[in-house]
Amino acid sequence: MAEAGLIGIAAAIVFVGSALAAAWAQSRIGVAVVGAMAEKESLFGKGLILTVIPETIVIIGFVVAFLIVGLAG
Amino acid sequence: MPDLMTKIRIVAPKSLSYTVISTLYDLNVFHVHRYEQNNQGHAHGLSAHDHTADDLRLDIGAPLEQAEQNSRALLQVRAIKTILGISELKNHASPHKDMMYRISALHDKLQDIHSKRNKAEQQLAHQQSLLSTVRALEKLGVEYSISGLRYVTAFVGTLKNLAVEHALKVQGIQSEFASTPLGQDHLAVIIVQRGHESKARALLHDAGFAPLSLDQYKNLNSQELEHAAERDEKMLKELDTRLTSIRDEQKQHILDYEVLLQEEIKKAELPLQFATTARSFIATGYVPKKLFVEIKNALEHAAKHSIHIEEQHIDHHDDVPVKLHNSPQKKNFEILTRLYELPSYFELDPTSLLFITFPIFYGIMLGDVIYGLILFFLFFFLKRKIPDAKAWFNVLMYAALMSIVFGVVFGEYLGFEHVSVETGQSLCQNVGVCLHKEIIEAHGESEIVYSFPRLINRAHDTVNVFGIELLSVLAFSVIVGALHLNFGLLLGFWNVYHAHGLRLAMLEKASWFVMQIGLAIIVLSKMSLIIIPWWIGLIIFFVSGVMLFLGEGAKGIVEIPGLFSNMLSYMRLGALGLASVVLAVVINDGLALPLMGKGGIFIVIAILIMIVGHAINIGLGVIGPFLHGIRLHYVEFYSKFFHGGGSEYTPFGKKAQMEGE
Repeated sequence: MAEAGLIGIAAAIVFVGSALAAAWAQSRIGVAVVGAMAEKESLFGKGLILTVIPETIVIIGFVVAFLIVGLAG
Repeated sequence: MPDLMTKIRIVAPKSLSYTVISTLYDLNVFHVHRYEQNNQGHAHGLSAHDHTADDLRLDIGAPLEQAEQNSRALLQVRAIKTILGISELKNHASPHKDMMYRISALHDKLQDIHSKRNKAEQQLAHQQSLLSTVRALEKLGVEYSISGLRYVTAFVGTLKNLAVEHALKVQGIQSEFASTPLGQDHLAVIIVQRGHESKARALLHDAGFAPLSLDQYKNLNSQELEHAAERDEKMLKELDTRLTSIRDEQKQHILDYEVLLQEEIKKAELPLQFATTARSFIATGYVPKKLFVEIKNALEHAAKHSIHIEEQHIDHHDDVPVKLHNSPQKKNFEILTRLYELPSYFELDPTSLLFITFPIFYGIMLGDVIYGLILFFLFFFLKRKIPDAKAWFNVLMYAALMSIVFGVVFGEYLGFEHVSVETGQSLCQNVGVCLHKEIIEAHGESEIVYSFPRLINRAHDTVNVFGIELLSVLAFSVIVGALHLNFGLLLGFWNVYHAHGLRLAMLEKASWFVMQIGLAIIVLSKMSLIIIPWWIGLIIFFVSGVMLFLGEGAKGIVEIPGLFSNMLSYMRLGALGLASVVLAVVINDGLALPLMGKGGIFIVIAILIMIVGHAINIGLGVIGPFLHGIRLHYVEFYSKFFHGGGSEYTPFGKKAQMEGE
């Protein structure tokens, strides 16, 4: 049972870490994109794409967390 | 593919400029290619291998003569609109006779009325201020001879702060004080004993006292002033009625004038984009190929055949405008294409692909029958409410439909995968819907439930991939990704093949297929599923690497891991869905159902929790799947074949109607 708890904590660390990383990256990109859009509104499409790129980090974190939880059986 | 275009060159004498331009304007199909002069005076707008262009010295055209006159008239029309307080804009207008004369006459007339009105207004304001002062003076009973007294000094004027009366007393200054309100201040008369004037003056100054010169009011009386003010008021009213009647009478004409003048100015300024010689002009531009003959005939007819029109060869360096060509259903998805970038003229238009895969991806991510239904009707309602965003809601309605389809595949209804024994039995007996009876185990306890029919259980079904238990929906997502990306590579192959030939297409795009085959052989051989030795796969892998290097250089090698991270990126299709399921299950089984069991007031709370919780989940279910669905296309899929950078086809003519109108 103690092992299951550790597995849970491990999964949480993976997920929290990747979520924070994605959030940090997105915040920086988002600010830059909004700045660029103030100059040229047609950059919305490209800006949106650039902003969501780091979301891959959290998706992969999510998947890894799932795999770790899977270890618990 | 975008609509086929043809590049045309029109050469005609300058005397025919207006005729040709007007015809082009009415045709509304000619996308002008701007002529640019480089430093040597060589032609840029004309094709580079055209010797006549180099031999002739060509200038940039000048606006037509009438441009200045039209601009002036347009300024007058705008002034008229301001005076009459008209702010609307019109799109279309029918022609008017003697327009210029009418505009100038109307402008002069209005200027006259406007200046009279301003004058009357100023006069009225002056009279009213005099009147109120005179009335106040009369009320206080001030005698105009008050200033020359012997034992006392009189201060007459406006005062901001009445507390000065008390201040005078405190200072021991003998005084008489009278006041009456005047506007925001007070008119005050303060009579002070001689000898105390300077002290009193200082106090009054602090209270915001402004002396009034009584001489000015000596010969005025309120009755006369009232009459004068009435006269001015009457005049103002009269002028206003005149303005209103002109406004009512002329409004439509004025709006027409504005449109017509704008059109004329647009026409008169078009030669700025032409190349000209001393007596003739050369216009280059693009028209849809299928309309070429029609356009040629119309221009020749208008110019009485003193015009030369030729079709020119389009090469890959030309900035050919792009006119997307899609059926009405697919047309809605053009907004997704445009949101990123228009395809270039020589590329495939990805709209049809978005039309197929975007709703499917959205459906896989949301995948709930009830959520899909709610969203479908919500978007349907919003489409009615906000007609401007019609195309967006159409796209989202397709996506909601696919959510319903995948909801059936996953067997999810408002986050419920199954119903309890009691509900299941009553459904079977009373409604005739008999669900599948199942035993599930959760938290070490087993429970009998009635499950909805499904092909895959998103939250629980797993597959064994290389010894790891993976949720089937995640594995399924990666397979979808692999198919989607390889399809993208196939399109890339087609694009490169058409633009640069077979060799480069093989090296740049086909190399990726070779690489995947090599890797598949290595993996399958290691798992002893095929009898080909694993090193053959390795050789194939290296061959593909060399092909890539030859095709794209070092950049290609760097991108090798990219293909696989792109495939893994498609896991979000399953992952987002899982997040949505888990949230729905928490709302239902974690919060609402246990409360429901307690009965009484808790049932109301449980229902509230369900409404709020599912509303939040649906909200997330609109934003998440939309952004990730579109992102998978833009980032992963497009990078395999799409270059973009096309410029929109904007024909010279009447402004195009808004789409969907």
